[in-house]
Amino acid sequence: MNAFMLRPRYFVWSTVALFALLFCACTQQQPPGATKEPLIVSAAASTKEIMEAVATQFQSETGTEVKVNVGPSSGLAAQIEAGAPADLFLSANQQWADEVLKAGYADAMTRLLTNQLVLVVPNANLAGVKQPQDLLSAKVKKIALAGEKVPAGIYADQALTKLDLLKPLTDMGKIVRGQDVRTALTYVERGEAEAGIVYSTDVSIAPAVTQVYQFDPKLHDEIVYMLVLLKHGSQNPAAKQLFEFLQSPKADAVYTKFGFSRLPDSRSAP
Amino acid sequence: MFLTLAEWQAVRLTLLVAIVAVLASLPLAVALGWLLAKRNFPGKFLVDTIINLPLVLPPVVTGYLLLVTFGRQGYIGSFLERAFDVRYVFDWKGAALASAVVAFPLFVRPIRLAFSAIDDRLVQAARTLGARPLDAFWSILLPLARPGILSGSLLAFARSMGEFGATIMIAGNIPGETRTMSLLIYTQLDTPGGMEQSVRLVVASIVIAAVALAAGELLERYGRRRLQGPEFQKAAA
Repeated sequence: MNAFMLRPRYFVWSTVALFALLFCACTQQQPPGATKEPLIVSAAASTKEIMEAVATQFQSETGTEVKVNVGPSSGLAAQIEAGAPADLFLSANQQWADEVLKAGYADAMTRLLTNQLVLVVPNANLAGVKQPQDLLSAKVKKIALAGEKVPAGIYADQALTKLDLLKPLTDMGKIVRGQDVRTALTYVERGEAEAGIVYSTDVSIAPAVTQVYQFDPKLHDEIVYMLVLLKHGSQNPAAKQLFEFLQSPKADAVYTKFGFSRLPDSRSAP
Repeated sequence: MFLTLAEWQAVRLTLLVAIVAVLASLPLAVALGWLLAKRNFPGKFLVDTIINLPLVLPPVVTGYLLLVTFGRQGYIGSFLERAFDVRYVFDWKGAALASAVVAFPLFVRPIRLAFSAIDDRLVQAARTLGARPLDAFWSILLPLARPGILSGSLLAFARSMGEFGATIMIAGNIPGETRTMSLLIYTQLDTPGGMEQSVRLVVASIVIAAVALAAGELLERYGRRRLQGPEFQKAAA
């Protein structure tokens, strides 16, 4: 048996062993102190940071792990209707929360947060965009919006329609739809789109992007983030606890830090 | 109408992207297939690995790499935009590029196999009869490799039609411009109540795939009959 005969087999087995070790290492990632079933929160993409921050707080206080599943509110609603085992749902508009309620998956819901719709550009702003009318100029080739069914996209479409800009911009082929508001933000960050319409809270987490204009709230529906306690979570006391925790002053501190504001008429849980 | 306007747009776009992807990568696939089958050179293993990379990489990773290279801030992308005003990101050309790259390994493989199955002595015989290398390639190697080239094209076409991850990364999801059938089905499914809507497109995809396969099968049989020549046809009859 010489070295040459052994080599291929040795290589194959050592690769298999390496993968097996990697696999074992990956599955050891249990967070310390998590003893109960983790909760799942389906949250609108724009709330990724606040939900993760609140989840960490909740876990350190109660020991229950919270997994945050982010995506476009429309997509999350579709997942819930398809039977996804989420306990809570934070929708960026009323429509998708109502949809989930209509389909019989909601147990309780409450108005939680609001936001502002803004026009953003890459920091260099080579197209010189200062206000929505500038979007018609030839220097602006692509404008990034969230998808047609995504709340941020719906609000943006409403605002652009009221300003008589949506049809001309669509006809000029300038509108690019991202899967959710954060994808639209990334397009602007990378300079692939000369402008985009996102939330004011998204600007603070994207240093490569500058806000140039804030849309008058009258141009679109009131931006309402609905917090829904889903049927899957309604039997779980930990989920109910999280539902209350998200409305408590402790959570408020997180919301304010990231630029979100509570809706004036939403009640605060003690 | 069986399909809505948006869905017809998606079908047309998918076919355009797939056909352009296959046609544009055909010369390169044939050249590389021949090179890998008939020639040995230093670095051949590296070339082979790079060609097969899109086959093993997750398509999203391929899309990311394409974006970094062909995006506005990428090496090739910024040059192309400055020099020719050509854009890949958010353009159907980007979708075609993504499909071409992802399908390339499937394109090269059957072509390479076809070329390596051809007896070298046939080419040598042609050369001794006075044919120049290019002439020998066109009149001997290429016709004999036709079934492999055909099957490679079919595989590449099918793969291009189904491409999703790389396409959505580099071309985005723009209705009418880059929203291919896969992307439209995905968008529909991402909305409550979308599952019923997607049925039409799913059926359309199956029909197109079946037609492409049937066409490929017929062409292959025709090609085989021609290759075997009239004497064999009479003998087989």
